[in-house]
Amino acid sequence: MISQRIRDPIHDVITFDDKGLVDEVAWKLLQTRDMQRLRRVKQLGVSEFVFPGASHTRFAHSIGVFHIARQLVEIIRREIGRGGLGMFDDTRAKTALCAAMLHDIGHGPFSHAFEVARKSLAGKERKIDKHEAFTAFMIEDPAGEIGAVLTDAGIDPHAVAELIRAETPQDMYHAVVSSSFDADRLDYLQRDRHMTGTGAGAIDIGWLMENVRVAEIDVAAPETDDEIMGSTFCLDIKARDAAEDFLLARYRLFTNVYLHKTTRGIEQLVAAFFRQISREIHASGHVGGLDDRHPLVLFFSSGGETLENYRELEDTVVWGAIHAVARLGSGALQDIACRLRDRARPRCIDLQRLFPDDDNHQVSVKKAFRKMFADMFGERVFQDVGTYSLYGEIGADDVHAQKRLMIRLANGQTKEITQVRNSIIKAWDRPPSFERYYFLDEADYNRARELADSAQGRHG
Amino acid sequence: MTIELRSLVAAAGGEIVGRIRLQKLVYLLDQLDLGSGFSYAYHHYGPYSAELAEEVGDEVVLGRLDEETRYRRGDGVPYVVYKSTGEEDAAAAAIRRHFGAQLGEMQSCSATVLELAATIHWLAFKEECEDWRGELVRRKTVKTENGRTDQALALLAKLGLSPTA
Repeated sequence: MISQRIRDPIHDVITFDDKGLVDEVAWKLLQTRDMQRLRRVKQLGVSEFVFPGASHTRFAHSIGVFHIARQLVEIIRREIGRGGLGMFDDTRAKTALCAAMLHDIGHGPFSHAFEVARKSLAGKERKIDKHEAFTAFMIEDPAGEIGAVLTDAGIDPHAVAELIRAETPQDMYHAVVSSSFDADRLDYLQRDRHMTGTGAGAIDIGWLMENVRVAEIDVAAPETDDEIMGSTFCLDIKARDAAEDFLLARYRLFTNVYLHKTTRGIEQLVAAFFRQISREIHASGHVGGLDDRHPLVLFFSSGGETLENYRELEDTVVWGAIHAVARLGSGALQDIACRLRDRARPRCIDLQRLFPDDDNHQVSVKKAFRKMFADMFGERVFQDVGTYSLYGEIGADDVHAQKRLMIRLANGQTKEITQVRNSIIKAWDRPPSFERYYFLDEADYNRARELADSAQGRHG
Repeated sequence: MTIELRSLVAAAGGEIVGRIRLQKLVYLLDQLDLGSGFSYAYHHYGPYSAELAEEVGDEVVLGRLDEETRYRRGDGVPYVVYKSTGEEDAAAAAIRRHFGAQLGEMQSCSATVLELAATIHWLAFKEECEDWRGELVRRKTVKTENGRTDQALALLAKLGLSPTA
């Protein structure tokens, strides 16, 4: 192939040439419609409402992930060269590199808000396909371009999709796609930090990469006596300081950027916009301001959650809809569209801020809010609740076993980073949580505020 | 919520070790008509209820459940243990009367077997996945080895929740 070069704000020059394992395939994948769509899906959704520089796309991120994945594959080759890990598997390495490049293609517009809205529309019983599932569908789609590109290069599209779908470590090649040092997080932590302009944390990427090792870790739940070993990445003890900084940088990005109060409030508005569109379609078959063939109308119509309709959805399509509805729509939907267009933030009550040292009052006010606004949640009042750990937001029982940061000690044993002697990072007894309420109407906000103030004793 | 978590923990012997065990245990009991009222979605350790997780946190804050952090020998990975506080109440006795045998069966399994059992049930009955066995191996890989899938199926059979019946 003719050597191709891309300039990148994080990695400088990224070269695609015939010396790489799969550079030619990767370059062809970049030209497919599903990859090009990511030019129009922003990496951080509405974070640019708070951090104006954070307008980078999932397309740029995916290229960066591929670039780092190549480095990680070379680390695997180096580790295999040191002995004890068998032979380098060319096919698995190629599969992992393609999976790294393609891992984000299934993201919808405003990814988090879109999934939140779809989940609440589906109700308790119906399951929705999340972005990981759409990624696999796109890779395995017999009518799609990606499967053909991979197959022509002798790479099994199903194996690529499986690597992305797998929840439990498969082998060291899987660690390129999912581990504490996977290519995804090594790119997004650097890119998001740079593009938001936040100075929090520091990532000593060169020293970290130099000290990545392959290790067998126990992937069973820590509370069991089952010992289930799986290969993944860990860090040599020599990089312990850099590992602590890396973990702190990640944690600070969560607390300062991803979970930012204003960003999450605007995400609530975006989710409400999607929900309201769905309701208007199901009530009247139309959405004021949108053509009946608009991609959002098609997707939210009965039976509309098809792969083809999903592919049409991008941030730009949604922004066009927001503008059209703000001009020509009506009622609650128009109100939300105008708020998004004009950055008219909802009022927020953050219970952690109000009761930083008083969990009891926090719980009692939360329960009172839920009673007071029971029939308004998702309409005029929104709640945003979650817990997080050192490893970021906890969206399940526990973090993935392979995402824990393990340090290899001089004696070859691996330890979770918080348990290494003299670690400056400690595990918490209870994971911190956030509990925020957003209000579209001033009167509702005032009622809630009065209740919270009363609990604080100001009106006692 | 229509059950008291502290009563459930008391009925389970006063202690439930680990978030995964607690979540899968309540999920499976709900399939036996425990009627907790929690809703579940699939996450990487199987069916999971964010509402249950939140309720547990609240119960700990309110002092109705104790939560203790322990660390796995060897690699130091932390986990939590939930313990009931105070005297056993009538609700705990009622849960034990209705679900005592099932609680005993589940408490005698490892958390991995419980995770597999709950996931098999979810795949077979909630996702209505015909090839739930293949899908289980795809999602859980090494966890399904060494007879653990058979143990999970045996547990489901004892609970009357077998997908192969």
